[in-house]
Amino acid sequence: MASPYPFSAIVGQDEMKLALRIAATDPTIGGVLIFGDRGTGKSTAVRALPALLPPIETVRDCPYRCAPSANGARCPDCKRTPLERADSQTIPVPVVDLPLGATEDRVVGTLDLERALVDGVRTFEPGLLARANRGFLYIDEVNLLEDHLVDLLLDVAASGENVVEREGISMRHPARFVLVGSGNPEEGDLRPQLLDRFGLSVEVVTPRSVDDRMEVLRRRDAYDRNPEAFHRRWRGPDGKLRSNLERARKLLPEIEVPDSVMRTATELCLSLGVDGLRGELTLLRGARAAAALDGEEVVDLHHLRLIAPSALRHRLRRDPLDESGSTTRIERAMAELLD
Amino acid sequence: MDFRDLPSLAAALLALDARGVGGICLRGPSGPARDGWLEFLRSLLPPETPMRKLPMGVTADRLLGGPDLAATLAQGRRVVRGGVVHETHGGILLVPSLERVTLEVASALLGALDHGQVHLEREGCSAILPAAVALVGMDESRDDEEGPPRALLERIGIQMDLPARWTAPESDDWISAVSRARTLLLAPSGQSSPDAEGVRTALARSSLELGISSLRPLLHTFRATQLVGALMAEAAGDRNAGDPLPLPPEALSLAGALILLPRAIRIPADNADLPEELEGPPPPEPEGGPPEPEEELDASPKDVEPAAESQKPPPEADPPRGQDEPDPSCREEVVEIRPDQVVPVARALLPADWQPWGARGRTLRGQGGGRAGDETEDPFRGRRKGVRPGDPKRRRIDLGATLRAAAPWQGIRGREPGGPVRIEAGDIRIQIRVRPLGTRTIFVVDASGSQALRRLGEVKGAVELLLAESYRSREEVALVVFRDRSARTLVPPTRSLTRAKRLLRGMAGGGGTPMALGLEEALGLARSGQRDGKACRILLLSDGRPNVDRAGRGGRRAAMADALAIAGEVGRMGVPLVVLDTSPRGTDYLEELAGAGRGRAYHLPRADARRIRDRVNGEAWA
Repeated sequence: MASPYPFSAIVGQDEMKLALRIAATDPTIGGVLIFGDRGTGKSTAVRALPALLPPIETVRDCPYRCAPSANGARCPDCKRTPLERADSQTIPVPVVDLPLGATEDRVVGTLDLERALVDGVRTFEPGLLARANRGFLYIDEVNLLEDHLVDLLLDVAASGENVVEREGISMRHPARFVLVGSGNPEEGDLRPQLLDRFGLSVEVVTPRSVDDRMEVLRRRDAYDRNPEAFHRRWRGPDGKLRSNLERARKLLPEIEVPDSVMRTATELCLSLGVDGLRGELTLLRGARAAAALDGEEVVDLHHLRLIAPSALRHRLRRDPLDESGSTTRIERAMAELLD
Repeated sequence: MDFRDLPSLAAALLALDARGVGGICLRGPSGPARDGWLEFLRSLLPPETPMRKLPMGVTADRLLGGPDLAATLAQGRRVVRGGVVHETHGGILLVPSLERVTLEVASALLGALDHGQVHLEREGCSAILPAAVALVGMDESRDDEEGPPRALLERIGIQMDLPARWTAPESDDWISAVSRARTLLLAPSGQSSPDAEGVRTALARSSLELGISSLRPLLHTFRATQLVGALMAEAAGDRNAGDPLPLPPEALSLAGALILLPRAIRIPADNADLPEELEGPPPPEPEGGPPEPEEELDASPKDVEPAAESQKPPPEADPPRGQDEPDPSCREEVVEIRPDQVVPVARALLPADWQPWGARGRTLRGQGGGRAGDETEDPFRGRRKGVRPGDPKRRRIDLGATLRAAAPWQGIRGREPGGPVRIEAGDIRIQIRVRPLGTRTIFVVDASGSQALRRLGEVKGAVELLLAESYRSREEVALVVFRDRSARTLVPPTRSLTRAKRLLRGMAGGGGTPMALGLEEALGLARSGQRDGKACRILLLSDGRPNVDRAGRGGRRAAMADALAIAGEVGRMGVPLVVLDTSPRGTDYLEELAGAGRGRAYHLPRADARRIRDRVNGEAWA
């Protein structure tokens, strides 16, 4: 495949772009769900991510991309090797595609067939979850993926570890990744239990202004005609985003959340009837990452407001008899609390 | 050569750049017209283009590829074999009965359509295989039947009804035109056509007028316009290779008739003869069509893209914006394409009685149906439930289990250390997969008489409640409304709350009571549901007796007899029937009707949304 379409060249879709950048700043946010109109650049945005992310350092040739440091989670092999002897390398952040036709054995990893046939040894062959460790795992049309696979992915994403017990193989390895799913709600929604486990959820709508639409066509044409020139043109903006992300990651641990903001977050969740603590936690984490991306050290209400729709809209109890969508309900609640 | 003969033009575009225009979905029954069109297409394609037919019931391993078991065992190392999609790389994949394609197959095709490759992660194999294919799909569904899977149709560019009496034109002219246009297109043209901006404006505007939200068709139409432009330039014969291709308004209209109009959800009123001064997009007045969000129709871009500043020419060469600006030397050639002309002109290219697909109220398939409770065994999809010995041709093989089964015998079978494992037919294990069985609840609502609107309102609420709650059980809901002299499916079977809400907006009430027609319509939905392995059930809501018969004629006696007869048919088909009688005092006839259909009747004078929902959930449908 030719080098992907640059992230900053995507027209509009600010909420989606911000959500992806926030997940990249703080991967513990718990995945991003992108739902909405077709043909709006959902896949394009995800495939463009690696160019924005600072490369990572790994143990050389480790299939799980373990970090050569004492505090990171490590695979059984890396645990056996003393750290000072580990040779390291720098690689781009993995963004792994999970194709819809994938079978479970390739997702979690399975018996290495070749070695079993040739040498008669049972060895583990890592799957897509291993490849996605410390990166992103992307599923386009996530609502078409079989339910049991979605369950499995969310389980692993939440625990950060892939435990395999199959084909006589017993294995556990780190699998920390940001799960990104996209889809179209007209094809059926995800079950609420699954929805709730995504950290952020963004709604994408196709641009409805003539100028935006023309700009999409214009840029696409320029890209198709001369991808290299197009990349040169967008290298600057993409580079800015990358250094911004790098700074935000460093800043993140320092960021403070004042009590007043925390209280407002709780009140917002209460007034919307969001069950459980997950909503509040995501709200605060997201606001913190948003502040970091802004280069600010203290979270304020503006950050809360920015992230609230993405952090909460998929956690509202559905009330089909209330015509207004969840986004409107959140905005209403925020206006009541903040204005 | 007549470019206005859309089927011929479509074939020519496919022959020039099938992937660029997104392939084609050809609607119409199989017959001489279709055979003729396919033959015509083949004659225009370069002879070496691979063209493969996707067999019905193709299995995932043959479609995408997977381990070649025989070779793997023989050679003692993993051998991956590409599937049909990979084998068609660079060519055209013919899909007969696109509407019958299973979601598994559709999902498998998405990657090839989007990225031109098959990403294989199956049965211990991991590979990326080139698969730049375009689909030529045949959709034989009628308007009232389920169409092709949505996700697939979205990615197909041209969508065309093939008239049953179409005959292919003399192909010699077309063949040479296509091959010369191909040369024109191949010539590297560094600069874009001076007309490109006009085309983009027209595309952006008319897609909004037509209610097309996705941007994919715009890209396909843009490419198609270039191809038509090349064909026209070739016909005019005054082109030098390397000149930027003109994109005349006719080219855009032709491309629009093939790609844009078919996906319209509304066709704006014909305003081709409005005063010339008319500026901006004409106000689209949907005529009973589903209203689409239009809030931002006229909004200027809200905030200037942060990237906008950076579009100033970077130090490197290659003036970015300049590419799109008209070359001064050919400025006088620039053809103004008035954005408001595209749609009417394109519309005029299509038959007078033609309707956009999007406005025909067809169901496209989303996920393969509702799910509830019971499970059914499925050859390929679903949760793995176990393994058993069996025939690997019909089920997925379970390699691990197969190897385990073979392991104990290796010594006896004389395997040498390091040599291949010896596996015999009896060792082969196949996977057992189960998937939950679906349900389809069909509401049949009496929208006649004075209480119609209230009843409809409550049913609408109940449908929305059921759908909102059905994620747990994943059931489908459909809604049939009968009133006056006819019945129609207002909400075709769907699991999507979003979709149902959109369709439920335009309901009307009043008039006669053609109950038989309503039940008949529901029976049709139940029949198609049963074919797909779904458990179907019918819920009838009425407050009285019918007075319009099956033929749409007034008359109480015939009307009552007809409805009873159809209810009987419902019973014979084993479709559970529940009748909710919403009249104040109860109607004997409705009880009789439920009896004829081997169902039950309930008297629910104050049936509100929640009560109806509770009845559906509380009923032991059997």
